[in-house]
Amino acid sequence: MRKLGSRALSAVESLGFHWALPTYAVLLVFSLALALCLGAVDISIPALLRGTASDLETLVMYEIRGPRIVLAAIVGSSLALAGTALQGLFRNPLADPGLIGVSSGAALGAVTMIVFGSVVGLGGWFAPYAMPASAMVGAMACTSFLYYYSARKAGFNVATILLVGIAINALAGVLIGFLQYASDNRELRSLVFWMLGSFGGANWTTLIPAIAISAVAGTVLLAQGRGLDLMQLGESEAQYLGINTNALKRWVIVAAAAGVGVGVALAGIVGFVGLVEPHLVRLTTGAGHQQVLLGSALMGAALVVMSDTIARTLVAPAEIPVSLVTSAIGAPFFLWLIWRSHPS
Amino acid sequence: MRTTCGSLLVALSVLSAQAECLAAKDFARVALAGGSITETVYFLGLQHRIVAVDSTSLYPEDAKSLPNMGYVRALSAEGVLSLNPTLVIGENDMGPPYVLQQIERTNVELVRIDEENSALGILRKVECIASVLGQAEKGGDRISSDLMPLAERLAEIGEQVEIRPAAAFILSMGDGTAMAGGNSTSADGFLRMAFTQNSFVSFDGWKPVSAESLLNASPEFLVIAPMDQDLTDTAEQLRGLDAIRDLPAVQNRKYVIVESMASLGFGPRTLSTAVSVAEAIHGPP
Repeated sequence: MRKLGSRALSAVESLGFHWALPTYAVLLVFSLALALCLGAVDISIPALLRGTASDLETLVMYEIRGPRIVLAAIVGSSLALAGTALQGLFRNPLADPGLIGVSSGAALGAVTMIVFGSVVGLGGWFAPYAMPASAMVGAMACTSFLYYYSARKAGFNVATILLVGIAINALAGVLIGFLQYASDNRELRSLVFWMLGSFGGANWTTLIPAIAISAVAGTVLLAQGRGLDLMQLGESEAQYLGINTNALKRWVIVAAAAGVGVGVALAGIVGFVGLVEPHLVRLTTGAGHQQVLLGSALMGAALVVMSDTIARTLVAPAEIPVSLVTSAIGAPFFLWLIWRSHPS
Repeated sequence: MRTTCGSLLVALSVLSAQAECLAAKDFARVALAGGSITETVYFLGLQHRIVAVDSTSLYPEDAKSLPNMGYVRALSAEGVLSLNPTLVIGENDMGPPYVLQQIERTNVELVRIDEENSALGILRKVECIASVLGQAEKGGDRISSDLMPLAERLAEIGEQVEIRPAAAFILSMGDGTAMAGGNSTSADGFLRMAFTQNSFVSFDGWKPVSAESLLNASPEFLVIAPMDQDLTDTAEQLRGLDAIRDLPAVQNRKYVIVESMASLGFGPRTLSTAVSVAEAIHGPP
C-alpha cells in the first residue's frame, strides 16, 4: 500500500507537481490576505466589501495598499524565478539576478534618468513611465552587452558569462558613483531612495504594463525546466541529449533581465530574494527544476509580500526599507543552509 | 546696481512667498515634517495641534514623545494618513514625491514651506507657518517681541564689519571625516548671516573635504557642527580630527562649535545661534 502511494506520488512528481507546491500556494494566499488586512490605517474588510467604508479607507485600500501588495508579489515572484533559472543555467548556487548585470544596469538607467531627466524635459503622458522605462533600457542594455560580448569573444561559455557579468557590474558601479558625485542634493535624494528599494510608489498606471511584462517573462522561465535539468549534466552533455543550449541561455537571460528589470524599475533594488528563495524551495521539492521554478514563483511572491508587510507595519506610522527585511531574513537563512550542507 | 537688483528680488520673493501662506482650510490636526517647522510651531505655542512629527524634529525635547512618521524625505503615505491629520506642513525636502502625490489625492491639505537661508527667511518662515495655522496675528506678535530684537542685533554687528573674513562650515561626522557646506547650502546661508565669506563656494551642496583642501582654502574662521554628539565634550575630540587639527584657524582657536540643528535648521533658534557666532567672530557691537 505504501509502495503504491509512493509510486503515485512519484508519478505526480514526474508531471512537474510536488506536494510542497499546494502548501506554497496556500502560504501565498495567506500572506496576501494578511497584507491586505494589516497596515497603518485600520481598514475593516467587511465594511469595504459592503461599500460602507469611509472614503479614506477605500482610497488607501485601492490606491495605496492594494497596488503596493500586487507590486511586491510580482517583484518577489520575478526575482525568485530569475534566481532559480540563473542558478540552474550557471550551475552555480550563488548565481543571482544581480550577476548578469540586470540590477546594476537598471540602477544605471534609473540614475541617468534622475540626473539628466530634467534636461531632456520629458512630460505629458510619458512622465510616469520615464523612470521605469529608462531602468528597463539600462537593464536590457547591460544584459545584451554581456550576452554579445560573451558570445562573440568567448564562445558563450558559462564561466566567461560570470566573469563578464562581474566586470559589467563594476563598470556600472563606477558610472553610478560618478553620477552620484555629480548630482545635486535633490537628485541625490531620489537616487538613494531608489537604491534602497521600496514598494511605496506603486500605482496602477505603471503596474499594468509591469504585470504584463513579468507574466510573459515568468512563463518563458517556467517553460525551461527540462532544459535546465539536463544542463546540470554539463553543457555538452545537454547538447547531446537534444537541448539547444544556446537557445536556452538566450531565453533564460532575456526573460530574467525583463522580469527583474521591470521589478527593479518600479521598486528599486530588493536584496537577497533571487539568491535565497531557490535554495529555500529546493529544501522541500528537491532539485528538479520544474518544481523549483513553480515553487520559487509562489514562495518568492509570498515572502516579499510578507517582508513588505513587516516593513510597513513594524515601525508605523514610519516604515523601514524593504531590503532591510528581506536581507535580515535571507542572510541568516543562507548561513544556516551552508552550515547544514557541510556537516563537520 | 547689485543692491538694487537684490532688493528687487527680495521684494518679489516677499510677494510670492506670501501668496502661498494662506490659512489652511482645517488646521485642527497637523502633521509636521521638518525639524525647523516643529520648532516653529512650538515657538508659536501651537503644539496642541500637532498629531505627528518626523525624525528630524528633535527640538524641543517634548516633540520627541509625539508619534513619529519617520525621516522627512522617507514618509509613508499610509503611515501619515493613519494619524488622521487634516493638514501636513513640510519642509522643502519633504518626500518622496510619490508619497506626496498619494496624500494629495485625499482630503488632507499639504503645505510646503519655502526654504530661504537668511535672517529674513527665518522671519518669513515663522510668519508663514503662523498664517497657515490661522494665527497670523499671534505670529506677528511673537516675531516682533522675540525675533526682531535678534535680527536687529545681527544687523548692528553687520554694520561694523568692513571686510567679511573667510570662513568654512564643517559638519564633523564623528568618524574622523568632515563635510563642508558649499554653495546654496544652509551652511552657506548661516556663514552669510554671521557676516563671513564661505571659503567653499567652488562646489554646490555638501561634500567631504580632505585635510589638504581645507589647508588650501585655509579659512580664517571655522564654524563646526558635530553630528550626533554632545556639544560639551566635542572640542577636544574635534582637535583630534585629522582633517582639521593642523588648520591655522584651529591652532589659533578661531573656531566656534555650534549645534547642527540650531544652526542649519533655519528655525527661530538659528537667529540666536547666528548672533552668538557673529559676536564670537566680530566681537560684540
